[in-house]
This record gives sequence, C-alpha cells and structure tokens, in this order.
Amino acid sequence: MIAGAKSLATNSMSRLIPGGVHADVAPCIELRRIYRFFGTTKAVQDISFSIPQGSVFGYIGPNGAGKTTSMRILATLDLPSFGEAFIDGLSVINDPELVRHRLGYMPDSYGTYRDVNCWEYLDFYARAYGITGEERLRRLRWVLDFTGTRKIAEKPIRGLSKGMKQRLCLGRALIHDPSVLILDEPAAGLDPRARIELRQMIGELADRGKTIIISSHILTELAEMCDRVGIIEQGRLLATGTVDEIQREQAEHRELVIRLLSDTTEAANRVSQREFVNKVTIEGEILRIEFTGDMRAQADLVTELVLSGCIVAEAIAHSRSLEDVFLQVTEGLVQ
Amino acid sequence: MSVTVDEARDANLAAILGESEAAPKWLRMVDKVAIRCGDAINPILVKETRQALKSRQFVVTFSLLLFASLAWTIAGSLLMMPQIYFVPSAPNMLIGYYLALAVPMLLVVPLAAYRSLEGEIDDGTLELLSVTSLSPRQIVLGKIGSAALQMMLYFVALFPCVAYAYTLRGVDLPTLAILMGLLVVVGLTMTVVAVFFAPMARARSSQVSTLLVVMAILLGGEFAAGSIAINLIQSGNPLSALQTGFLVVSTVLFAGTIAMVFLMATAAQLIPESENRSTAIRVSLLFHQAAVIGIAAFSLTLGFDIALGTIWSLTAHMVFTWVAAGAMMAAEAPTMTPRIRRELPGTFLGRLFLIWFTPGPATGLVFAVTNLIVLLVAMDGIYGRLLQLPDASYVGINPNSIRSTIVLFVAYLCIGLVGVRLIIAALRLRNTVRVGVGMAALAVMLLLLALVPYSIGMHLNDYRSYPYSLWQVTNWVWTLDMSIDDTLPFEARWIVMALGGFAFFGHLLLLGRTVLPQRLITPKRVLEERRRLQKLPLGTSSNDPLGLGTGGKAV
Repeated sequence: MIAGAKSLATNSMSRLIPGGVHADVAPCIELRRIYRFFGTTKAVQDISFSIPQGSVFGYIGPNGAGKTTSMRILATLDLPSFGEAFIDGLSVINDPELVRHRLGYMPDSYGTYRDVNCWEYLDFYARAYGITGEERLRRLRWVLDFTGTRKIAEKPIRGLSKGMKQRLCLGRALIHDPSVLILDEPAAGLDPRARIELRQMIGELADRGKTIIISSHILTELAEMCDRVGIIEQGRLLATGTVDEIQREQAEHRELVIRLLSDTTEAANRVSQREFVNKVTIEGEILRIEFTGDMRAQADLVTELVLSGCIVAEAIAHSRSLEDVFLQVTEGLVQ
Repeated sequence: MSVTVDEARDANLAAILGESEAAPKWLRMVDKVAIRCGDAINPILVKETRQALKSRQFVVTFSLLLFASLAWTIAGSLLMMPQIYFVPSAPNMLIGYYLALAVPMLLVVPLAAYRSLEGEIDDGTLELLSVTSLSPRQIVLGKIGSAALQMMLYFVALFPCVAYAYTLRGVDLPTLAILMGLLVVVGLTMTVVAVFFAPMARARSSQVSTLLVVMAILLGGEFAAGSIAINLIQSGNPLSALQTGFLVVSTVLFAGTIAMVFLMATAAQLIPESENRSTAIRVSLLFHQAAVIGIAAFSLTLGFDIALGTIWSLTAHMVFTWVAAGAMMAAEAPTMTPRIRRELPGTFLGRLFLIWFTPGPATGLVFAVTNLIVLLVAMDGIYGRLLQLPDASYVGINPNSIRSTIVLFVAYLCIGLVGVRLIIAALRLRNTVRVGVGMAALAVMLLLLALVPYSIGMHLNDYRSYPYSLWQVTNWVWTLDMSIDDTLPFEARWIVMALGGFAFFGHLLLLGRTVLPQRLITPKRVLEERRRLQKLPLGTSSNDPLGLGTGGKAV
C-alpha cells in the first residue's frame, strides 16, 4: 500500500522509538517527511511515502524535481535536512552500513573503471560487499547469466555499448543479492531493444520478490513496469498510487465513449441537459461525452441513457495514459 | 586440435568462475587456497593492482625506469672507465640509480594515488564504493597499499643495479639500507599526504589549486629527500651507531604516527556527516604526540646539539599541529546525531575520562588545549634536563620568560578557538561548514587581532614607532615578543591570562553536561541485523570505536 503524504505525516512521529528505528517494519521502503535543503534551494520538501515488499515503484518528475536527491537519501549517499527514511525497518541515516547490505543502487551515471574488464569489475564489487570464496564465484556466474554479459565478461569496459554498460551496472547492483533496488534513470540513452530487455529484467527481478524504486523519463515504459508511481515536482510529492488511482484522484475532466444502437441525437440532447456535461459529440453511432465529475457522475450518465430507452451497446471510459496524468498533475515548473 | 579465440576465452572464463573440471585436482586445491588468500586482501588493493598493472602510466613508468637504469649502467660504467677497476665508483653510480628510482617512487606513485582517489570522486565511483561494505578507512588503505605495491615493483626492478653498484665499492651496506629505507619511508609518507588532499577539492577550480599544492609538496619532498640521499651516498653515514639507531627509530615512529593522522583525516573526509569522524583522528593525534615526546626524550642521549635541534623542531611541529587541529575541532558540528550518541561510553566513569574523544567543538577545544599544555609541560621538562647535560651551553633565552610566554600563547589560543566557535556557529546558520573553514577563520582572526590595533596605533602616531600599551593587548605578536623580552606590562599579562582562562575553564564547566547520560540505546532490530551479518554474539559490536561495549543493551 502506498500511503499519501498527509496521512503518513500525522502518524509517523508517534511510532518513533529511541535510536532512530521504528517498530513497524511492514513496508520495505519508507520515507517520512523528508526535507533536503542545499543553501536556499529546497530540493525535497516534506516527502513521505512507503512501498511494500516486492513491488515496483516508478518515480516521475521533470529534471530538477528532487527524484535523484530523494533516491540518494534512500541509497545512504546523502542525509536529509529533516525527516527519516527506512529500508526494511532500518534507518538509512543511523544505520547506513546495515541498510547497504540490503540495497542495490544504480545511479544515472555508469560508474565504471578504466583498465578493468567486465568480470573483474563484478568480482571487485562482490569482494567489496564481503562475498568470499565459492559464494562469490556463484554470484558472479548468476549475475553474468542474468544480465546476459557472460559473452563480454573478458572485454574491457571502455569498449562496451551503452546497453551493455547498463546491463553490467545492473549486475553490479545485484551482485550481493539485495532485497531493494534503487534505479535512477536506468533506461536513459538506451535503444528500444536495450530498453525492452531492461524492462524484462526488471520484471523478472520484481517476480523474484525484489522491491524496486525506479525513476525514468520514459513514462510509457514506467506505466508498464510499475505497480505504483509517485509524481514529484519542485521537491514536492504531488501524487502517489497506481496510474488509475492518480487519475481518479486528479482528473475531474473525463470522457465517456458510448456506442448506441438507437437514435444518437436524442441521446445527445438528453445527456447535454445535465449540468456537469461539458460537451457531447456525435460520430455515427458513437456518442463522445466530455464531463466534469467522478465515477458516480459517469455511472449516472450511463444509467440515464439506459433508463430513457437508449440501447447502449458499449460504454468505455477513456483511459488516460501516464503521460496524460503526468502532464495534468505537474505544471512544468522547475527550481 | 585447433581452438578458436572464442573457445579459449570461454575456457578461460570457465576456469576463472570455477566451472572448469579440466584442471588436475591438486591444481584446483591450490586455486581454492589462492582464492581464500585473495579473499583476505583488501578488495581495493586487488582492484587497484589489477588496474595499475594494466594502466599505461605503469607500463610507461616501469619501462622508462628499466631503460634509464640500463642506460645509466652502460653510460656510467663507460664514463668511469678505466678508473672503475681500481677507484671506488659506487657513489657515482648510486646517485644515478637514486635519481632514476626517486622519480617514480616519490613523484609518480604518490601522484597516481592522489589521482586515483580524486578520480573515484570525479567519476562517481566513490559513491558506489560508499554503498558497499567497505569502510572509508579500507578504501584509503587500499589506495596506499596499491601504491606501496607499485613502489615495491619499481624497487625490485632496480635492485640488480644497486647490487651492481655495491660491487664497485665505496658505499657500505648500512648506508645502502638507510638510503633504501629513506626512499620507502618518504615515498609512503608522501603518498599518504597526497591522498589526504584528494577529497578536499570537489569543484574543478579548486582541484587545480589542490593539484598544485600536492605537486609542490611532492617536489619539495623529492628535493629534501634527494639532498639527504645524495649527501649520504657521497659522504657515507656520519652518525654513530647510537645516532643511527635513533634516526631510524625516530623516523619510523614519526612518519608512522603522522601517516596515521593523515590516514584517519582522509578517511574522515569520506565518512558521512551522521557518523563519528572525529574520535579516530583524536586518538591518532594522541599517538603522534606520544611519539614526538618520546623522540624528544630519546634525543637527550645524543648530546646537547642534536637534542636542542630535535626538541625545538618537534615542539614547533606539535604546536602548529595542535593549533591547526584545535581550529578544526572547534569547527565541528555541535549536535550529536543519534548514530554518534549510540557510541558514547555507557558508564559515568567512561564518560568522565573518555569525554575528550567525543565529537563536538567544546570537547575539541578542551582536547586541543589540554594536549598542547601537556606537550609544552613535557617539552619544558625535557628542556630542563637538556640544560643539565655535561655539554650544555647557554642558549640565550631565560627559561622563565619562555614559560610565561607559553602560558600567554596558550591563553591566546583559547581566545582564538572560542572566536572560531562563534564564527562557525554564525556561518552554520545558513551554510554547511567544513572543518577546514575553522583553520581559515582562526588565521584571519589572528591576523586581524594583530594588525588592526597595530595599524590604528601607527595612524595615531603619525606612522612613527610607538611604545607598547594596553590597547595592543589583542596584538598577540607584539605581546608575545614583549613577554619573551620580559618587558610586558603586568596588566597586559593578566588580561590575556584571565580571558584565556575564562575561555578554557568555561568550556570545561560546560562539558559537565556532556558527562551526563545522553547515550541512546542501540535498538534490538539493529543488534539483530548486525549479529546476522557478522555472525557475532549479541553485545559485540563493530560500532564501538573505543571498545566500550556500548552495543550490548537493546530496547
């Protein structure tokens, strides 16, 4: 369950206990009233949300909205000015070394080394996470197979394509088998095939029970990958939930497309008399109704048409894409 | 049977990943042992060595070293023909070899270590390392270890040439050992110092200035070590066995402890703000101080002249160290994060005696000033013994004047550090302040305190010399000078001492609050997680730098 900012803000402080770790460890990732200031710039303001285990959370926002800042706080790389953040019930501020064992982080830059080949790179990170002996070799084999980098294992990293580098970096984030993955713009600069393959890998990881928080500008892909999304702008979290939930919460202007087997003109006249209907368009046997209201208003329109004797063959509420929702929720403001 | 490149590569990878069954059983056993040994090595050292040995910089430097040493062997030998057969010619050959070896060991390797850490910060890979299990100290140690390994390779490469030079007579084995030891100690110390500067500059503009500072230090070190080494090669070791022993022991002690301070300070720059950055540095400073006092005391056995020089230079070094460290500690953040509060000593006695290691500006001020007093008292005692040596001669300054001047100096330092605290507190209202700003604040403040009253006095006296007055009491340079000459007015002395004493004892009283219980109990969830990760029994904690067993209780 993804709770909204306001509801979390009210009850979060009451659950704090000494030492900075909270008692309730149900959500896998939890941010509580996070603020981050850089001088006078408010990069993140009062952000609270939680993500249950095994779900994929898409983090959407324009450039400079505060996505990377809040992801870096979760990744124990930055400290909030105020607020708390937890991963598996462990504070990212007070116990970063414990959180890091459960965390795989992939920043928007590749973070690779010169004069190192692919398996050496992965081997180094396995060692850095304290994985030793046979277990390290086993993890290396798994990661090379999972990310499809076995064929290039002995190639120097500098000669790899962007897609292959991205696979390698995903492998690095997975080498210690973390339960949480933080992926910052993983699909940036990839060609369509590489993006599809990355999406498949993320889907597979989610199926394996990993909790994933992912930011991207390619909203159509996020819509397919994510269970939930959070929309952030100017450091404030504007909405969280599934795309439909956000649409329902945010969208007042709806469109209903009805296919009638009876007289469309009469039906159009009837529904246009309702106060909340803005526009009715007739396209052959299709009636396109634009109105302001919630699901109840939509149900009322259909009921009215049926009760008035219109033969309704099909009623479709126009489904808004994530892009539509994003454009509606955000105002295109930058800090 | 022909094997394609791909097949060979696959077979190689299979062998690396432990998938190949083709190797004999005994070889696989050896492989397992080798893997186990490799697991015990710092991962950064493994990575850096892999990188370094494949890097163009290493290949070029190593090739140039081999070429230079070979060329000098041939050219030097030919130039010294035919005298080489009957005149001791080792010194001339050794100077050439030293110059060939000193460039990579004292310049290239430290600079490469500096660039390596700076590159990690620039490329964002340090952040990726930060989210692994590696501690900042391991990261820094790995870099230094890799530099040491490269030095060893250069050293080994040139060893046959040194052996050849030895056969030409003119340099004894102890001199050779001192020469090589000097090169290693200076090389490693300069590497540690160079690495210390790497995290300081994060912006491009400051990176250039930092690089220039590092280059200046390295070139200065290269020049100083070169002067000593060439003098040593040409004149031989002029010291007695006891003096040589003192030199070796004191050099190792001094370089080892100062390297430890720099190592801790470098690691502290990589540690997040929420963690304790200060305690390890304070402990290493204490070790350094103990080593310095020990060396000064040991120097008494070497006669008046050597001891006098040693005592004065070491005292000056430590006074500068405590002033700089005090300014930086006074600029530490005053608030203790829950993370730090969990690590505080659990008992009243623990808090009472170990309070000086607790991070914070108040404890930092008292720690620096107390240690400076301890140093000065110890050095005063050693100096007193020095004057009783049979070969002691009059040094020209009255010891009582020195003592009273020292008291004034400490008082000025206390006042200055309180000023640093106030300035940093004001800056901290709107900015994130790094501890280095404390040093800059102290320098500016001391400059202004001396220059402003002096300039006003000059102006009021029509730019002619004028006598000291109480208005010049903030002019610490003039006041200390008057004190050394025993001409300082009584009131000025007491004003400075009263203000300094108020600053110091005021802090000491305020520290009482810190001695009160304020430690947070480590949550049970955290203890369980630590136990799970480290396979340790409950109560054992890595998060316990003072070994006080603070992680034992849980909520």
